[in-house]
Amino acid sequence: MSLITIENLNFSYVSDNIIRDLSFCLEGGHIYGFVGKNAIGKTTVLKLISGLITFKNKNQIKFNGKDIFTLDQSEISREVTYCTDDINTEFSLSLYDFVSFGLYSRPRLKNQDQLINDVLNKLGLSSLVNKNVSDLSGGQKQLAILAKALVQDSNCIIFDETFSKLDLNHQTIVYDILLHLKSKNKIIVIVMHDLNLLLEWIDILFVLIDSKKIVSGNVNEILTESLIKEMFGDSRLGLSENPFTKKKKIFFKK
Amino acid sequence: MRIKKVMNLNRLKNKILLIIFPLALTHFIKDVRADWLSESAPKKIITLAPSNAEIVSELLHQNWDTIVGVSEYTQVPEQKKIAIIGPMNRLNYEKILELNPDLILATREGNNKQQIEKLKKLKLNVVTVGSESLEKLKKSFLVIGNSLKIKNEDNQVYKNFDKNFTEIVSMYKKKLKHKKYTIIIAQHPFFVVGGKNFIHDLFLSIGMENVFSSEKERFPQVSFESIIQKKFDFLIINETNPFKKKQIINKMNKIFISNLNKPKIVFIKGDALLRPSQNVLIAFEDLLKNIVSFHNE
Amino acid sequence: MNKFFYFFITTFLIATCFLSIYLGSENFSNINWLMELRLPRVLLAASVGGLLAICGLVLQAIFSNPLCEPYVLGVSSGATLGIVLAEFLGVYYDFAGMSFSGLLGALFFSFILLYWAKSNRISQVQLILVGVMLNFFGSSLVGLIMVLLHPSGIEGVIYWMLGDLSKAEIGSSICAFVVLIASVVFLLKQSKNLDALYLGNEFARGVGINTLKLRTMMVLWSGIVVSISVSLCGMIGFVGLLLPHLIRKKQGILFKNTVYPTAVLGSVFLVFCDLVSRNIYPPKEFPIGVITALVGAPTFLYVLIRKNKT
Repeated sequence: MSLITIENLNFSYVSDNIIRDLSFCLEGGHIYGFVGKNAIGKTTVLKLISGLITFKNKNQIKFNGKDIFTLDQSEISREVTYCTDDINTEFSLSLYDFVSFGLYSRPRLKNQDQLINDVLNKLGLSSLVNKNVSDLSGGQKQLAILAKALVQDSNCIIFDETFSKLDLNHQTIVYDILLHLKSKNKIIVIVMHDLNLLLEWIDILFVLIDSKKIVSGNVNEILTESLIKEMFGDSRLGLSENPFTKKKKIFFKK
Repeated sequence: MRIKKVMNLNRLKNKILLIIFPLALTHFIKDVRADWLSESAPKKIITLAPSNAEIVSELLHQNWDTIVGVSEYTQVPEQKKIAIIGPMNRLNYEKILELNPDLILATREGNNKQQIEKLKKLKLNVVTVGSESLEKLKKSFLVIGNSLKIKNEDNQVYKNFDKNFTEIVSMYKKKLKHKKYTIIIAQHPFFVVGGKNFIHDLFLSIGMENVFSSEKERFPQVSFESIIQKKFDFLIINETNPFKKKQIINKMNKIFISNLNKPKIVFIKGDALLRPSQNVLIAFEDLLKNIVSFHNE
Repeated sequence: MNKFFYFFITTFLIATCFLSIYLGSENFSNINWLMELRLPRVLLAASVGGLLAICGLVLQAIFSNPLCEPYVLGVSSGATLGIVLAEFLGVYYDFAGMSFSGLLGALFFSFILLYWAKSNRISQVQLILVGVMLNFFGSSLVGLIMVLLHPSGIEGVIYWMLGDLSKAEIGSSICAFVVLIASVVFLLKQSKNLDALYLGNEFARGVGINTLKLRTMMVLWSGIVVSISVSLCGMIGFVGLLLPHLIRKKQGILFKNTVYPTAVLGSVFLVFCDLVSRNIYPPKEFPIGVITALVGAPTFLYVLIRKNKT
């Protein structure tokens, strides 16, 4: 069972965006949603957890008790994969080569070809195997990013707006995959601005109110109109419930 | 009848004028020329090349008083404090104007057209000489002499040059006739003395053959390979740095392993030979002495 | 790794070298001249061509920037500064055709750059800017000293700055060749790490690569390679900038497929340009940096246009 503990996280860039004394816990077998206003520090916290920002403080981020400070980059890549929303490169490489970067942290894996082809198949990308990754559409690029994360198969996968350009058909495919990962006891973290879609998928909601305060818990328990007002400060948003799934929904009041 | 007389008189007047006029003109010109020659010599001279300074100082019998400005790297006598008007390729025009010269001596090789044009636009008196060939070099002595108001028949530099040159030719012609040579004046890139050069003419007069005489430039740029491929007896190199000299000797030894066909290497300090003034003969004779001593080994 | 392709290009390289050794303005009857003059030169051209090409390949990956080339790090202006300073002070020491003062100057600038490269506070773009600043600073100092130099010294420096293979000696050419072979082996070992950098620093970290260590290692390596190349034969442009692009177009971007072909293409290209520079207008010898640009730029434009048409 994987566990990421964050204790009294303290970080700041040179300018602003200070994160102070943040503490929370992520357990395997759950799908977490991270929400908060723009520029509140969601990406910063998640990149810190992923080891993508050089961080000198000790004992603030631990993977199953191991301090991130003691791990090297390849070990961190086995624990966490951070997925962005786009592929940016001036160079042309094929989809296959892009996805096979996920194998860097699994050098001793057998049947590597098979794994990559299976993953591409599952996401419906098999026909695009040799296509230049820069020539793919926005949605296809995001699927490619997901494919690479699946190949990398780390204990925790963070999706930072990775599903923003998917059509409904692919959204269903992705949801199935997320459920499968949940059953394998992975930690899934999703950042998404489409709150309603997010609420459909997640179990536990993390709300970053400001750089210090974080409210977390089961969606049905913590999501109230007052919380929404605190998050977004807008009284035009209302809360209701999906009659079929019983999951909470947000709507715009007329 | 009267009209005819007047017309005849007119025709006569015309004929007289036709004869008198040219006579008067020549007399007038002679007067002017005499006046011009008897005009005073320039009092403030600026030389734009070291060679010109050498020629001027020699013509004035080592009297540097009238030379007020020289270009960089000109050798002036120690006690004299003469203003420097910049290197040959970048003249300080303000300094030149400040010195208010009545004569500026330029060279075609060292100073470019734009510089000379600019000086003329500034209403300065510029006299340019060239040394593309030995004849032109000798002529430059006369031209500079004239600009100093020295008549050709009184030009000692020209006369001495002729005399010394004839002596050198007679002394060395027999020994060095038909010997082949090349002169490398710079390395990396390699520049040699070409066919359109007064140095080439000097050697030609004593019968030596420049292996690059077909190149119609003063100092053609050539590859090291093309130098090696020519057959010559003497390799004359402008180099004083002892380290670089050793390198050249080593390289030539590696290329010509046996002494067969190996050219003799003569090192010179090139500026004296390359400066188009009367002192060229001193360097030339030194060089020939060196070559002959090799030849006798 | 198409074995036949590799064999073919290697043979082509060797053939070009032989052609360059034998072709000349006049036929050499003396085999000693070939060994002493032609062989070191051709070997040097092959070595430096290969080194500059793979250096460009690596820098384009390290900085994820297709416009990077070996001289972007400012090392070459350090070499020029060293040479001009030595001329000015009258100190002169060449070792087997390699300018010692140039080497020292280049290495000095490399170490300045390395200090910045090791710091994780400096981003990729900022590191390139440091290199650009070193270039500007070095060139301005060079300009300053050139004014004080005797005119005959300046010509030599200018010619050197355009690339000059005429100082080649067999000892240093063999050393350069050994460095090339070692570098190719070294890069092949690091190929997986370098591939990931093409997608950006963050992506590479995400798949488990210590990007700071890799960057430091590669900046040090390219500093040494450029120092050696520049102190042996001046600044030869174009090779490091555009040849990697040609190879990547055909072979893809993965280093395991591009390192060796890039080295071979670099070698062939420079040997060919050397051949042209010596034989196009004998007895003159054109600076090789001029020939590489004159030959290379139109060829590259042609390839680019043809690619866009399809």
